[in-house]
Amino acid sequence: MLWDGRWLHRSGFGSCENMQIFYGRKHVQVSNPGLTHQRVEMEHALKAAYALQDEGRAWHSVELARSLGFPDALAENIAQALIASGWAEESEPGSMRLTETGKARAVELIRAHRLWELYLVDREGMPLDAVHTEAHRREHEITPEELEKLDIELGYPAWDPHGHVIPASGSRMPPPAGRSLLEVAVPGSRTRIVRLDDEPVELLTQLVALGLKPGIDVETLSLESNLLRLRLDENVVPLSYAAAGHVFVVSATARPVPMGTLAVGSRAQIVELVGSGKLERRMLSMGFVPGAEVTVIRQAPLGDPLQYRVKKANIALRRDEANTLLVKELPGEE
Amino acid sequence: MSITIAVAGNPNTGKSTLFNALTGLRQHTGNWPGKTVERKEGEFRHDGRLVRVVDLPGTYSLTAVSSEEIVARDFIVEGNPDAVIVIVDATNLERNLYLVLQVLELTNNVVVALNMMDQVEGKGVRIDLGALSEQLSVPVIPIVALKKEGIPQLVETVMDICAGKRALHPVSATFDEPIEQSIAQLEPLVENGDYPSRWLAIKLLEGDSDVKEMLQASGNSAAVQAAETLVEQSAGQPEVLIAEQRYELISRIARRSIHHEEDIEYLTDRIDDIVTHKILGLPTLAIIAGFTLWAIYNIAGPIGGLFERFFNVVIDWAGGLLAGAPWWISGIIVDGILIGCQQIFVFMFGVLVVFFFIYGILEDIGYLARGAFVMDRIMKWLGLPGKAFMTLFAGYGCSVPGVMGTRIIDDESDRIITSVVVPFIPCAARIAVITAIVPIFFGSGLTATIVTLGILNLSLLIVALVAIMLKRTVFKGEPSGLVMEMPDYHLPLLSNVLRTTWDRTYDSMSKALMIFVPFSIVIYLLFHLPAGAAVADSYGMTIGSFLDPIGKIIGLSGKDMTGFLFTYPAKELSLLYLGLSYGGVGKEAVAGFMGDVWTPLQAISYLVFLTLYAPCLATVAAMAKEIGWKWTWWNVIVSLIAGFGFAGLIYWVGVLLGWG
Repeated sequence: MLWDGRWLHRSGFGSCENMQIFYGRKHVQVSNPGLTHQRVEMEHALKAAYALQDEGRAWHSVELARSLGFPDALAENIAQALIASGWAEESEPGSMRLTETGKARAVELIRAHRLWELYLVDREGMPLDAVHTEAHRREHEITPEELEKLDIELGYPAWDPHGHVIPASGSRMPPPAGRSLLEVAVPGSRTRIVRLDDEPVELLTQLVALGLKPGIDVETLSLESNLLRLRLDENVVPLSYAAAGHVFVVSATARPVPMGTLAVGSRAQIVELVGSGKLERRMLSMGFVPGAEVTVIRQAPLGDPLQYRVKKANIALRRDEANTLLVKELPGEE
Repeated sequence: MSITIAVAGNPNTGKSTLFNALTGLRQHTGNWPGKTVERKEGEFRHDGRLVRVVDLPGTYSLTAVSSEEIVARDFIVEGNPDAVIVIVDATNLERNLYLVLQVLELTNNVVVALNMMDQVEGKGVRIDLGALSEQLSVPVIPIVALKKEGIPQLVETVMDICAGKRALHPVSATFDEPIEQSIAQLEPLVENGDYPSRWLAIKLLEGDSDVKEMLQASGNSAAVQAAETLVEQSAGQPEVLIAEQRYELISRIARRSIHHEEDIEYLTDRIDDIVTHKILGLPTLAIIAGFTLWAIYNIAGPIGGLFERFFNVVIDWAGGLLAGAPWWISGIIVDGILIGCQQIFVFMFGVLVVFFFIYGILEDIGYLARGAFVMDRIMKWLGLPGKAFMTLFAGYGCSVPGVMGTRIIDDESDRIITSVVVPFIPCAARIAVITAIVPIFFGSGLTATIVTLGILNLSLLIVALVAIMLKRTVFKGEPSGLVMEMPDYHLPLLSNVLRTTWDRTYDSMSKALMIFVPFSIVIYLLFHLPAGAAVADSYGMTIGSFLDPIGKIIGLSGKDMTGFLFTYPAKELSLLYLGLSYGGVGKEAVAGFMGDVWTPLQAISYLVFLTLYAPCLATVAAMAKEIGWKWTWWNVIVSLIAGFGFAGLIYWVGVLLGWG
């Protein structure tokens, strides 16, 4: 393993104990990499500023201080520190924005944070609700080279375990996918969770305990006065409106699924082929091409293979072969 | 000068029926050079000119997936046919047009034969022939091959094209800009060959391994490299994009020429609801398999009896004729050749005819694919491809067609595994010996049934063991799958079924006889030399006494072991040998004294060994041809190990339990 537990032994740098960075000095030497805890605080401030800016509006230093949980009195110090480090500038009096360097560093931090979260869940078996704090600690310490190695080891993942997109190296942050469940839920609608807010942690813990996680489908059964009832697999779970606001979903049919997972009788449109062998080549020539419509006719008595109808012909495929096609489910016929 | 035309088409489109309708009985079969793909050729006369018809293998495309596509496209280019007929299933036009477009990439002289026109209406489809022909810019002739309708018009059109009366400029698929740019970049690199440069460029982008090899062999690795770079840089797999865009063109053609009125529930679906039903599917298959075995015993037996009587007459006659000749001449001819042939015809011919007839009907009506569908889960567990079921089933008739039937399997390693396990399926000959010997020792009650089924299931166990072992070791990690069309059911055409039955029976019989006759002479001499000696003192029996220690392993005598040598050419000879060596020819005679020679346990050991010890010579020959000597030897050695292992195990465990 490239990434052993050495990081775990480092002590954290909570916001309060390091408030003196902004209290004590007028000029913060952020360029000195030796001053780790200073840099950590600066980077926290940068991320907070990035989050404010990402909402698409101008921000003010006081707003930033508040989002970081600092008293208003420190706002000016924080703003000056960011400007001094070249990460932010004053766009007009009283209004701040991040520089390109600042944005790039912020994206890099987010990328590191999300890769670490995935690493902690996947490789160290840490519970989903515990990884945020630990990833928060590690994101500042990793060098760009180490970050690349981590990305490679995890196989260039696209999503972190909460369902946030992991930005590619050097890229801009794509807008977060999905809409809040609270906004879109109507009784009977099927949606797929794409992301859970990782803060507040207490809420995330609750959501995880209910069995909610990115990648699973939920069906909204009913809307009650202050409560959503959801079906996950076989279970029915209640979810408060407040919590539902932190769950982000897309329409369940929007994301392509492997064709082998479709139920008998369903119709789907092929989106993509992921295999590239002889069998896939034969499937292509038999009409399993992107855009083609497929109906699942039946499955064999022993559960596999399955019979599909494509271009008016009946073709038997083993589930493994069927799963090399990603499809979009179409609404059924009556 | 003679004219050559080729017939191409998807599988299950009535291609053989059209081929038969064109050529009648004037046809011959063989293999494509260097390939284990059947080549059918025939001829007919038209206005005094000889027209040669070549039946290309049924394929869905011309991109290399297996040897079939390579054979088909090579013939279209290198065989230089004057015209190519592409037969198309009118009820499933879009999928079939994919092949038409690919053939049009290779040659302009194409006639589309729109088959099954009589069923189109019943499926709620209306085809505008004029529009279709216009869209493709080649003649489209409606036919019903089963009823021989439209054949004269088809022939006239083909003749017009061959005579150059119609110059065709058919439609060709143009692809999106990025693909076209890649094609344009590759074309100059692959010019000056038999193949059209645009076609080669497309195949390179599709990643066709055979075209890559061909170019590399001709020293043009630059083109291959350039193509690989283009594929890497491409957004999306060019292979998928090309297929997708071909189908887009087809959709455009279809929109203008095909009108789907309504979806009618097909008869096929209703039949499938039963034969592939969750609960009824497997019993249906079991009933069909059971009926096949029943038919073999009840119909093949009388056929065998006829041959027995016929050969007896011939043998008597020859014996009389050769009465004055030296003993060895009459011995070789009568006891060696004629009695040997008699045995083969008595035991094998009827079995083959009955089995291939039923198999042919199941194939022709479309049930075989359903059998494979129902059984595939088990094949998957064995690590075998889905289509292996069909050849394993054929193995119950005779291992030779079973082994040759593995040709339908696309993947090389899958084909080898299947060929290696097919001979373990007890063929009709072995089943015949088992069912002849078991009653002698166990009567016809429950015990006899248990012993018979036990031996038959033991061989299935070996099939499973060998297949799983090969898949987990030598061929580890090579995926095998199932991508199989389930064609619509249709009534069998008797003439088609009879023809394939005859072809297959003839093929298996001639293989068996060709190997058997020389071997039979050697065996005869072994048991009759030195001159004038009784069988008991012959060389054969002397060898037998050397085999005593080996026989001990499985509780049998050296004499019995000699029998296995004797019956190696064809296992159905076992009864003949037992009669010959223990004193009396004929089933009844053998039944009379074998009960005193063996204990029941020895009989079981004998039958287990007989079932497993090695495929007969004809099967060995077929295997060597299909998968090469290396794997044939492998099979023979594993068979011997399995034979000695299981027969020995059963015998000695039986002895320990006091059954000896």
